[in-house]
Amino acid sequence: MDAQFKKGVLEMCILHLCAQKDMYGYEMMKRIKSAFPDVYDGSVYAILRRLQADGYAETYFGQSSEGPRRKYYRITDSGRTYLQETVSGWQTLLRAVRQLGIDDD
Amino acid sequence: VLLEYEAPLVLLGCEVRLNIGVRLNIRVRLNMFDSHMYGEDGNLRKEEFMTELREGLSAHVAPDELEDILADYHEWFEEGLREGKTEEEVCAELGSPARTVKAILEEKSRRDVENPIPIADHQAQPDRFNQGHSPASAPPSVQGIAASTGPAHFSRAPQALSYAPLADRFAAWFIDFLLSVGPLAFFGVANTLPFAMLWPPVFLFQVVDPAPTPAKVIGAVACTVYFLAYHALFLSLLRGRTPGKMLLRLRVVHADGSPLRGVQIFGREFIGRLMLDCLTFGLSRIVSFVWSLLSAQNLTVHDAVGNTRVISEPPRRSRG
Repeated sequence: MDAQFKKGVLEMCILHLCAQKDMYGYEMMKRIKSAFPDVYDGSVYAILRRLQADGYAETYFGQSSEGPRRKYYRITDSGRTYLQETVSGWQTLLRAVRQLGIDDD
Repeated sequence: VLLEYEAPLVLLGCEVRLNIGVRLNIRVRLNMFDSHMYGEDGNLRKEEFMTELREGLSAHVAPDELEDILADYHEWFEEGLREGKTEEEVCAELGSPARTVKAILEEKSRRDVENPIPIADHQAQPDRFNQGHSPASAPPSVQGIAASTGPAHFSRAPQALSYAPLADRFAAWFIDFLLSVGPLAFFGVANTLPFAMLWPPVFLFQVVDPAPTPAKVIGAVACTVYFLAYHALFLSLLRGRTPGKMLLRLRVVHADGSPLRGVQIFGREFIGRLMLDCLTFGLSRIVSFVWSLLSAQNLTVHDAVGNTRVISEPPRRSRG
């Protein structure tokens, strides 16, 4: 699959997970890897960083009980708006593809 | 565009690599203090990975962002180690540093639309399925990061290091010089101070006293030892600071921002400073001075040898 296309999908998934609950990078990477085993680990961090730079997510540091300091990502309001747009764009795309007869069932 | 000069020298059994590019990037790496970088089998380990990551990114990324990125990967290693992985295993997961650099730059160029970064096999701005999104317009949110400095400075995660300005370092050094040499001045060597600034052993050629009493000899020896050990002594006692650095709010840290280790103090003060000073007749000081003017991190020879950096500490704030 086209790498850029896949990154767009990944970005949507990451933002979606972020909207469910605040996550730190490593945790996010594990979640993404469980769904996309062949995704390159480093790109999850890179996408998180870009989401932050674009203002769709913000970071804060949280301390786990015994472990290291973790940087958590939290979705922002503009991130939620952006996620909604992206998801609806994705669904439109899926409908269009299905309408043309590409379907998985 | 790049004028590059690379000269491997072997000095004191350590490899010194000078790499002079357009940005006058002079790197000195003394493998002696980095022997823990590689596992016994020669596999890539954390420190080497981080070093290569830093090198690969430094030309493309602003210093603050660079430290931020490195902090992320530092965190990644910590999490991996907590899961019981070895540094080698985490490195294997991450792939080569070059690949990591490429992923970061690709992602970055997706946001720097006006200012794409040339990468070998990077494609033009891709068509994405989401329109109506203007990456350049959104303000970056930095509050989380900005709020993170403070007493937690010595947690192991490197943050954006604020490298100390040269003027502060020079002032701190001068204060330390006076403090370290002060007791010796009692023994009649004050007239050699200007020379000793460049080359400490000049003291050894001083006639201390034409008719020394045992007390005077012992005093002179004690003051000399104090002078020689001054920096190392205070760096260990004050955790990376000397009296001069305290006054100027400076601190010596590991290159990745973590606290100074004992071997680094030894490397920085005894090898990088005293020994090189003596062997090069002060030339290393001049190199340090010129180098710190050119380097983005205000590096000196002793910083390079000890793999240390000098940072400015923020003024202490009340909690919150």
